[in-house]
Amino acid sequence: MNLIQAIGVGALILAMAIFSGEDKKVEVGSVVPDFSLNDLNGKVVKLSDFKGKIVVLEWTNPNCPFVQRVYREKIMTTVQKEFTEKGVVWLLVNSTNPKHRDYREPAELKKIYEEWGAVYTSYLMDPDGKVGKMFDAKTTPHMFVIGKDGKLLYSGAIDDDPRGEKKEKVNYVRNVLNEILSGKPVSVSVTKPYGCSVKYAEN
Amino acid sequence: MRNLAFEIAMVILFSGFIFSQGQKYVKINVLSNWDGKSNKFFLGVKFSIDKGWYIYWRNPGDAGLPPEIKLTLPNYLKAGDVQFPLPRKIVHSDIISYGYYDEVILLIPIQFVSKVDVKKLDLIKVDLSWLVCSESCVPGKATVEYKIKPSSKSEKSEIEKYKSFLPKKFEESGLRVKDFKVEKKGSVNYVKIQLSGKDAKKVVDFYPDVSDKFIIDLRSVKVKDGVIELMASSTSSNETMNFLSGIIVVNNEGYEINLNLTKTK
Repeated sequence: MNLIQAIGVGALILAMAIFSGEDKKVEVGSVVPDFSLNDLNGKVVKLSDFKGKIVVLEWTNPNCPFVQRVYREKIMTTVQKEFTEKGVVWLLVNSTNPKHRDYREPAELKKIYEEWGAVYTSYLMDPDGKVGKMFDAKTTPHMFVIGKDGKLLYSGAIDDDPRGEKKEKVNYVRNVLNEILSGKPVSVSVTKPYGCSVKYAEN
Repeated sequence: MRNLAFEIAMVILFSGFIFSQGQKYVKINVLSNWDGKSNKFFLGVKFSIDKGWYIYWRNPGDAGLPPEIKLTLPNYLKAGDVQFPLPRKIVHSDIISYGYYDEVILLIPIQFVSKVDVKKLDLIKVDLSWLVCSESCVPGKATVEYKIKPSSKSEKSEIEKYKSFLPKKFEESGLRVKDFKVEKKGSVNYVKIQLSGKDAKKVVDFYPDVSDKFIIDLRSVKVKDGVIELMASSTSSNETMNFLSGIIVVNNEGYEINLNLTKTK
C-alpha cells in the first residue's frame, strides 16, 4: 500500500467513524462514550472526570410541569440527597435550545434549582443537544444511570407515576442504584420515560 | 346580583360547558347522542384546542400524557372504555408524538343497565385532566356535570363525525398478516410484519400502543410495500417481544391490530 492509498483508507475510516457517530445512540449495556459540557459556572465537565463512579444523568427543564411536580413533591430531591451522600455522582443536563422560550440562562437556573432544594454534583448545559441526542433523551425528566465500569445500566422514568396520583410509587432510579450498590444485577433496565419533550432545536 | 351569579353558574353546569386553565388553551364541552329511548349511547368529551396547541392520543408517543376521563355515573348506567379517534403523528426534532390539533371528541360508550324513569334522570360527573402542548406544555383540569337528556341534532352529528374517525377492526381493512418475525439481539427486539391484501402497499404508517414490557423506538417504525418494521427494547433483558398492538393507517383510516407474536404463521 503506497502513501496515497494509505491516506485514502485512513480518510475513509475516519469518514465512516464520523458518519456512524452522528446517529450512534448509547444503548443500555454498552459503554458510554466520554463527553464534555460546560456547567453553570462555565467550567468544562467531562464524564471521564467521574471514572470508576456511579453516575446518574437527569435531563431537566424547569419550565416543564412534570419537572416542577417531581421537585415540588420532593421525589427528585429525596433520591438526589440519598445517593449523593453515598458517593453517587448526580449530573443535571439541560438540552433546551437557546431559541426556545423554555431556555433559561445559567444564573437563573442556579437560582431556580437552589430554591427547589436540588442536590447535584454538576448542572450541565447542552444547548446544541449533542449529548441529549447521544443518549436519546426524550423527556424531562429522563433518567440514565451509568455503572462504575462506564456501562449504561438504566434508561427511563424516575418512577411509575406519570400523573402524580399514586400513593405508593415504584422509584425506578432508587431501585437501580440500590441494586448496583449491593452488587446485584439491575432488574429493570429500561422503562418508558414520561414528561415534556426535550426542547431540541428543530433538525 | 347573587341570583344572577347563581343562574349563570347553573347554565354552565347543566349545559356541560366549561372554560378551565391548560384551561386557557382548551375549551371542554360534554355532549351525547342519546335519542331519549335507546339503552345505549355515546357520551362525547369535546376538546376545542387553541391554534398551534395539541393534546395527546392514548399513546402520547415519546413525551406527553393522554387525557384522562373519570366518570361518576348513576347506578343505572355503565360506561365502556374511552375511545380515541385516529390521531396524527407530530414530529418535533427527534421526538415523535401522537395527538390532536384544533378539536377532538373522545367517545365513551354508555349503557342503561336497569330501568329508570327518563323524566328523572340524574347528572353524569365528568372529571377530566389533560396536557396541552405547543412549544411548551401546560396541564389542565376540569369537572363538568352533564345532565342526561335527548340530544340535539348538532350533538348527534358531531358524535357521528367522530365515530367515523374511530379506528375500525383489522378484519374490515381487507388486509391480512401474511408473516411476522421477531429477532432478538441483546435487549432489542427487531419486529417485521408482512401484510397482504389489495391495499397492503397503501399502508402508510403504524401507531403502536404503549406496552409495559417493551419500549418501542418510534423512529424505528418503518412502513413500506406492506411491510412494517420496528425495534423495541425489553424492560428486562430476558424477555422476547410476544405481543404488539396499535393502529395501521391506510387510506386515511385506522385499523386496530392485536398481534400475538408467539404464534407461528
